[in-house]
Amino acid sequence: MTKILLVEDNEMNRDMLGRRLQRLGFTVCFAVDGPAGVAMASQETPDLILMDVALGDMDGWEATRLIKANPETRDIPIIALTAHALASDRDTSVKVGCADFDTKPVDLPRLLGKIRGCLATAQPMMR
Amino acid sequence: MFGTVELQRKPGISPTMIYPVLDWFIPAKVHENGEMQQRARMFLISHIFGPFLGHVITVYLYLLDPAPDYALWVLAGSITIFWAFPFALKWTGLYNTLAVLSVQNLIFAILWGCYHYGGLSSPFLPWLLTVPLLAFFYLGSGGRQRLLVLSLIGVNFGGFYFAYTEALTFPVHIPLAELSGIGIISTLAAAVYVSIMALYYGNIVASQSELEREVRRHLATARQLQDAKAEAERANRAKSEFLAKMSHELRTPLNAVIGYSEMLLEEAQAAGSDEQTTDIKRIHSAGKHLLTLVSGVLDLSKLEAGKMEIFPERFELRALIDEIAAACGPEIKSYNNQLIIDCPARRAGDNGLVVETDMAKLRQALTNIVHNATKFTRNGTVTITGRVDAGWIEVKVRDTGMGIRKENLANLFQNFGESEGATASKYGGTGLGLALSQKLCRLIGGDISVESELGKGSCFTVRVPKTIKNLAETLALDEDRREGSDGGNRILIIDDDPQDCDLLSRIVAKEGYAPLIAHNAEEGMRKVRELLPAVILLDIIMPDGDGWKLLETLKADAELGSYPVILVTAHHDFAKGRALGASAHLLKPVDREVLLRTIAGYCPSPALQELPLFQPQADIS
Repeated sequence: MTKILLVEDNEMNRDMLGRRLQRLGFTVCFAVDGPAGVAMASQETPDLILMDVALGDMDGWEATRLIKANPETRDIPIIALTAHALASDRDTSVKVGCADFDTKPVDLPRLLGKIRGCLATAQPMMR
Repeated sequence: MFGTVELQRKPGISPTMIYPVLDWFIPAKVHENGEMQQRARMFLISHIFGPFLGHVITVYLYLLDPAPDYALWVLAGSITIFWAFPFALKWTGLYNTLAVLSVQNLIFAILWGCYHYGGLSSPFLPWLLTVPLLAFFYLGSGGRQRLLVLSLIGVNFGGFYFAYTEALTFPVHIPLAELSGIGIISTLAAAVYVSIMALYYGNIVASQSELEREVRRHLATARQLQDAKAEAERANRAKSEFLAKMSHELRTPLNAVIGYSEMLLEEAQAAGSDEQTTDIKRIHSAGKHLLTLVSGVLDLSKLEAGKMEIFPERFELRALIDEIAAACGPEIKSYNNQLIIDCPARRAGDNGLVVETDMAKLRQALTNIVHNATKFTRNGTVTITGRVDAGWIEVKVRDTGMGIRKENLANLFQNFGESEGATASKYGGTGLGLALSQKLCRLIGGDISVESELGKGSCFTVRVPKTIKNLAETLALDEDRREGSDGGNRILIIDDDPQDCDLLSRIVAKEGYAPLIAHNAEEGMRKVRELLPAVILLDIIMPDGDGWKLLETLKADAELGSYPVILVTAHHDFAKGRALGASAHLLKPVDREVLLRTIAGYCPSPALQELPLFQPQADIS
């Protein structure tokens, strides 16, 4: 079963996206802020992380950097979620090591495509 | 005083009615000087009416002695000459000289009359009172004039005394006893004369104070208008801020409505409940519609509050068009339309059409237009054509839809200006999309135009510059390069507000000028010396150095004093700007056309110079 870590501080967004992913058969675990996200990444070793960029004190970019700096969690693909579709966001997401990037509010079929793409390329490396 | 006010109210009695007659005599040169004009009017009144009163005396003398000698003829001639003065004024325009001559003639006539008719007991003596009165009316009461009038009187009295000491007696043309009757007439005539002048003078004083009251009223009104304008601007800003805040607050719950309705929809579809699916779809699409509306209002209020920032990015035009096509794809299909894309794509060894502008803004504008084209077209085609040439990106979106009535084209880009009320209800739409698209395109230096034929379809054309940079920043870096290449097209913008700098530089850059930026007075002064701009745009209200001071320093400088300075400011003191030597004074928010026209007056637009027709002569220097 594929396990996805959703790092998102907005309760409603977390609930919506989490439940929809669960319904599609994913195992979903949650983190409500950056530090929790980093901790959960090494604890749960998910197959993929969905990272909201606009988190409180520690933003999603910083959390991603920390996850990528840890050898244990380095290979987990991360998809960044931002409110704006700016190329600068895309550049930053590549720079900090995200596998992909999507905009909020979430368009589920599109996000699903990206999740499947990331899992397909990441899995051979992980196993 | 009350009397004169009464006089003014009654038509037919007002002394001002004689002005047209008087003004016929007054030369233009004298007209220009308001104070001298008033004095000239007084001069003319006394010269037109005075001789009539004077001649009452000569006629009386003639009746006493029907065979008069030279004394009466000289007196009559001297009085008659006064009538020539108005014409002399009209033809020569030498007002002051004529006034002095007139005073001299008056003193002569009076003293001549006194000498020959009664000596020191002459009935003409009261006329001497009119001399200083008239002299000061004519010449004003400055120190020099006072001295002149008094010395004239003195010299004439000297002559009178000298003539008397020669003979130690006065000539007797008519016995003094017979002159007693004329004494009353002479005194009366002098009194009437002085009264006319006094009434006229009083009237001027009254109308001047009326004028002053009027000026004060106008000043008060102007202040009120300024206050009202400031208040309106504050209210407009408050409105924009309120809308921006509200839109943001509305979006969060709306996203929840849309998200959860999407979840319910998935569940209902999975359960095969058609009835629920239809209902939830309605909630979902209404939510999405509301979100579009709220986002539109947010963007519009941001644009109107000048808070929309520009983020230039390098990207490939075809990729953007493909992205938009993909986003609009389901909708295009649902109306049974066909989408055609005509735009060169990236190939091996060819990067395609790479441009550098604010992609998000362009995408939003184009998405709106493609969305519109789709919405109003059934079973037709939507064609997107993308081209880049001569520094411009041009994207045309052509549809084979219902088209737009000619009379509706004009307000198509107005907020909530969807072409017809009925159209909006049939096809849905907020009426914000096109207004927003146009404002976005203008923000990045371009515009949208539209051609349409009813029943055949419409074609929207978006044209924006191929390259747009965060002007305020890049310009500061590129100054040296610019200096070499752009010759005399440099325009220095001195303004502490970065947003205003950005706006102004974008306006002038689009016209082909090379904008330079200085954020404070000190930097401005330095850049004027270093970069020698063709025109300076100066803000007055700056924190660390008054714009007035900078203007004064500039204009006092022998070398830089000739540089045209255009004030672009919220400051209203036009008179001060003019006095300090500003070439023009424009009020913020500045109108683009007015600004460019004003600049072109000092430095011709390079955009025009590019056309051969306007090619300037070769510069020999």
